[in-house]
Amino acid sequence: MTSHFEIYENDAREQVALRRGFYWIAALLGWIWLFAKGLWVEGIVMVMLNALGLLLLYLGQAGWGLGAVFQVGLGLGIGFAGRRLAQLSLEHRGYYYRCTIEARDGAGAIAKLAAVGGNPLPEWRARRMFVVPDVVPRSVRGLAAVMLLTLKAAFRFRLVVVLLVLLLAVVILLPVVIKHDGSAQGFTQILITYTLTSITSLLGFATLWLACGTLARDVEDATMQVVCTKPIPRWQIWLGKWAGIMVLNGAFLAITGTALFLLLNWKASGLSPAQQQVLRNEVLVARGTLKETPPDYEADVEKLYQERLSQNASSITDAKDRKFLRDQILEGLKTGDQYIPPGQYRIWRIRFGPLAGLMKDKPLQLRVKYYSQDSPGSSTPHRFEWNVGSETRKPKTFVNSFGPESPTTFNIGTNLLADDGVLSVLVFNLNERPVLFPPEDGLEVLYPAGFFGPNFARGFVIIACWLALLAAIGLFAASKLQFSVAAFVSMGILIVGLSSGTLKQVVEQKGIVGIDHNTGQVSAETFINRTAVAFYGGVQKLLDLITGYDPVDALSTGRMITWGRLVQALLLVVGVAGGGFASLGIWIFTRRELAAPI
Amino acid sequence: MDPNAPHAAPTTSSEVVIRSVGLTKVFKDFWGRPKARAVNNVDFEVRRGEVFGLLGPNGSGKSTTIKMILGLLYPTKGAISVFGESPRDVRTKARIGYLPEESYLYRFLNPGETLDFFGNLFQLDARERQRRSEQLIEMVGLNQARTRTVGEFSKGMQRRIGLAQALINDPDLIILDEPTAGLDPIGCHEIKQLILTLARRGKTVILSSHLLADVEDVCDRVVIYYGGRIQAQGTLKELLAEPDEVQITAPNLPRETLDQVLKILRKEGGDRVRLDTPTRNLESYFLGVVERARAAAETSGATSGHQVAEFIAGQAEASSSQPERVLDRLARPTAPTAAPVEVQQPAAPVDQARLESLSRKTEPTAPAAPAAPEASKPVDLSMANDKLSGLLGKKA
Repeated sequence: MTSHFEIYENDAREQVALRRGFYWIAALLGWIWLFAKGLWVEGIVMVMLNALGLLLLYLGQAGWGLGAVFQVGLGLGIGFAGRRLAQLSLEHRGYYYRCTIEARDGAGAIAKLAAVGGNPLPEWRARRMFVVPDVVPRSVRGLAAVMLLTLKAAFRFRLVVVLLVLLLAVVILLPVVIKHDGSAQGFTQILITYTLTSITSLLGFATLWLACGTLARDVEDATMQVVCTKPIPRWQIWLGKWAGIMVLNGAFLAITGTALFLLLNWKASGLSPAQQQVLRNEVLVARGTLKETPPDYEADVEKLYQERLSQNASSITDAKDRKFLRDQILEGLKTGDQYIPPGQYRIWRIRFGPLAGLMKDKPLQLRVKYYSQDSPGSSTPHRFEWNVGSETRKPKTFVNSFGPESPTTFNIGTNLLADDGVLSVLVFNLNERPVLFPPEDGLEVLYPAGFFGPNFARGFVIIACWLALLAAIGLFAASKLQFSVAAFVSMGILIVGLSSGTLKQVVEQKGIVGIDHNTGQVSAETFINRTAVAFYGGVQKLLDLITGYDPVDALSTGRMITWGRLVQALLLVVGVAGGGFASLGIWIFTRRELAAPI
Repeated sequence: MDPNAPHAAPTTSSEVVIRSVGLTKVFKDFWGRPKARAVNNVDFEVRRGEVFGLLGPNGSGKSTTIKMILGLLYPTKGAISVFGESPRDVRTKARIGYLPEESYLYRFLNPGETLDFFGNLFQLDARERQRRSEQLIEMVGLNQARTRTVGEFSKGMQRRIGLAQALINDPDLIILDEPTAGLDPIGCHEIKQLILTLARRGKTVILSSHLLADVEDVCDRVVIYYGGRIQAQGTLKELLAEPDEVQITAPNLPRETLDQVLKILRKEGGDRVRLDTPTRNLESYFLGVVERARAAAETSGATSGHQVAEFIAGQAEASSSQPERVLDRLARPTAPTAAPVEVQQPAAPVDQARLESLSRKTEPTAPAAPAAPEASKPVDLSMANDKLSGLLGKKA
């Protein structure tokens, strides 16, 4: 029986014959065969696949039968890819293809070639190559090619390896180097807050750098000139680069996310049983939050306004003064709702609505934050008496004490809702000074809404949304500028994004010029101040939209990242903000004279 | 829109491929103030099937003109059209192949990956990309450098892969900017053969070169730039002819016969009549030496030579030459789907005789034969086009 053998030859005229067909030895030995052939990267990938498969089988508590099927599947895959892998091995060692000859064995094929003087017959020259079929539509094939090119560049310039090592070092080494205090909070602080913040920062800067470099450098070294003489619209080049960066980020997030998730579960077993319980209840969960429906102050404001107006009709004539009076009344009412004098109480009524039916036997928690009249920064605990439950039944009562200014979470028990699905929370101020519960996060009820795993994954998708925006910013800057300038500009945009406190201050003090240090506000409305407030206010609103979806905070406090929130993040962060930068960047890049002197 | 869908297929060599009218390019500084007038009010036309040369010293405006043809720079004034469309039109670009003056290719890709990438930009199918890549790599002699990346290549090898990418789409218009820079004499010879072959297939070639001998060997018409303006324009025959002199070439004659002829000629021409022995040019001699050495021993260097000639030398069906056999073999897998393109002989035919003389193996002392009248032979180019169209899957 004969087979087809591909003859390879090197510069020293050494010849090797490769048989076409299934490679049993590769199928049986797997990564060992790959290492023996010098295919280190392929071998490492194979080892990782084996390990990942076994791990997933272990975690999923699958039987050995399924494990065996997985291993056989991998073996078959490598057996069918054996010839191509052997070709790669030879090509790496300096061999090149000569011809394909039908013979009984390899030696016979080489002998046949020698018999014709080493010059292959024309019918032997054809080379049958494995062709990866096109999986993308013809119209976006250019975009996919640019995406793949971006990925290859990242691999070949060692960016992927370096970044992966750094990321895994952050995930694995940070918890080892920084010891937590044994509490669930300390554990969470290090494993989730620090680690996720580090991953996000590292990937964020890498994304900006890569986005600026991949486009600006192509223009600078003129490779883009050759690409742009081909029939690919420039928007496809731009989006192809963006897609390549995002595929890379997706892979990084998947790897680091999986590593962090496994590490969380593994390291949690080192905590005391009590702290493990806290961790399971408060962090490694997905808790939904409910707040009191904000009261409508309009009617009360109008009533009080009319009363004051009738009392001081002669002195309040200016429209500006009337508006000021109305604002002051509204602020007074709001403050009154937040403010609890000593010995007084306040009631929150939280409506569960359709969720009420799902809350049977589910543990509820309160997350509260207050401010006291003690000196700022003081952490002296204050005592409170809590009465939670239905207003028609006997409430559950307890007393606790905790410090001001930072959120505190505590359990309140199960089955506390009234028949109409309302949970009433009454708090007595047992202190000698008044306290204030801010309306935005003074009191929230936390309830179990899902599992930690999917919540964790959604959190990573939101991080990916941020990275998508950063990639768009980097590419936008590189659409017109040189690499160094583009990197500077995009970093500048990022720093402005991170300095939202300054923006907020400018808006609050209503300008930037002529600040009255007694009132903390500008003394006169000028054109510059109006322009500054309009600009800074707009930027701040945009930034609030983008940074309003902080997955690190949500995950470290075990709060639910809902699908709705995820879709909102996709629409606003990627669609609106990213799309804005992308549109502008593509518009600039499409009009750019690529061969113009820089 | 299918970027590969060609415009109405050209049929005659009178069709204008590129038309430049009052083309002007002024480079400006950051503030928009004029800095340099690189091209100044240039008018020219390039017709289908022509090999058109752009000559001029450094900074004369050749590259700027090429980049405006490619849509990489935009005219400040005037207009330029390629196949009747704007150079920025994506469909127009589907018909153009461009070899830049330097290797502007991705240094981290190997030759196969480079050609696959550019093939994707032309929306070629996977199998077709693979087929063309294989043939082009073999053609440019990089078969033994498949696993090396472009960044590891010598300048000459980079020119070769650059040329391959310029041909991946079987372009109708090929723009070659200094195509022989960095190539050895064999490579230069192959490039010139390629240019002539492409021209015979009805392709239009624009060649920018500092090497005047290269331009003289292959170009039908040239423009000479200086200071951004065209200083001279026309066919080589028009530009180089010296109408007040004639040249007579004869076999080696006895001294007495020569004396008699000289005597007669000097009666009319006086001291301006000269007698000398024609010599081959150095390139022709070099190629002969290498060819003999190749026949004697193999080399481990870059394999160039015959592969380029085989692939590009599309000839008549009746020819039994090796190039034709290769063409035949390459054309076999794909049935021709496109109608053959009718090609007329260009007004100024390719100087076939000169090209033949470059590669002819004759003794250096032998007198050169008169130019063979091959250019006037009826050549069945439609057959060759048919085959190459089939090979490259080109739709007419």
